[in-house]
Amino acid sequence: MISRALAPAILFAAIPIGASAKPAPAPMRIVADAGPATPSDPVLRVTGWVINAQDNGGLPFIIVDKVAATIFAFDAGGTLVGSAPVLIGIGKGDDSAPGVGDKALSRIPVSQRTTPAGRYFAKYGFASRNEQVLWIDYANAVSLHPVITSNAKEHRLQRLRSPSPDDNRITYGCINVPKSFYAGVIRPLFKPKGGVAYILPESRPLEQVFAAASIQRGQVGVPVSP
Amino acid sequence: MTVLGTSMKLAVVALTGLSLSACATEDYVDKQIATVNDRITALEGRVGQVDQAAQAANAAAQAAGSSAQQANQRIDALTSRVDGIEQRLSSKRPRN
Repeated sequence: MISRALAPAILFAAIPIGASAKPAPAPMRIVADAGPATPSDPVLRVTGWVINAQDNGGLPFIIVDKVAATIFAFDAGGTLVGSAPVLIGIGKGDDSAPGVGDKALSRIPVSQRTTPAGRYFAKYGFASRNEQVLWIDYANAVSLHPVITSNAKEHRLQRLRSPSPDDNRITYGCINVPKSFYAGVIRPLFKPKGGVAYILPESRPLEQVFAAASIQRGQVGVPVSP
Repeated sequence: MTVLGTSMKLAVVALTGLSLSACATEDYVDKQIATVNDRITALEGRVGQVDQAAQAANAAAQAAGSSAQQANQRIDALTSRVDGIEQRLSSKRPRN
């Protein structure tokens, strides 16, 4: 069975690479206070593709770089408006184990605590305990929310603050972001109509997950006023 | 007088030979040019066909890209609806 996350990638895989007659992507626009994170080459490639193909459909979008444990948030026009460190699933891999979204957290083995790669339509919705979260992949219970600090032994805040991405793998699959980033960037962008989440792979080739992303490379470095 | 006559005869023979040789060379060149022209005409026809095929392929690729984008947006809308229905039935616990 093909997951909903993979379906768009498969559709795009049918397009011959380089066949598009569209012009080269415009340089990535960045607001002055978009955060200190530097986009990696895969982030630039996916950004260039999204903006050039207008794959976000006029909605805000986020790109999560699992390798760098960093999130980049863009407004509907493709301007980078913020970046921050993230915590992601402790299990390495780009897929979700079948049925993992319906398991109790305590029954999910470490190997299945993955943050799946792919393109997702992200939207605010209810979760258990009547709380609202930004659902990324509802079927597999992957959401984006402020960092959880209920278990002190996990040292999640310290992990977010440390400069190395190596210790940012601690969650059961969800994406944790700093509270200020969630309130100041994610909620204002996604609360009205939702948006698109692109979670970059760490094991599979980028072109396998986002086939059309190999068409264009983005450019970076042209700041704009907020 | 005899020497002059002989010289004139030799000159006439030489000129005739040269003239005949020149005619043969021009004919040969004309044939070669005609052959090349035929090949150029044939190639022009093939280039035209390839160009048409390339344009058709490009148009098809663009149409496919447009269709894929439309399909993506329909999937987005459907995903949102399905998730909404699922959430009404039972709210999941996020994998914190």
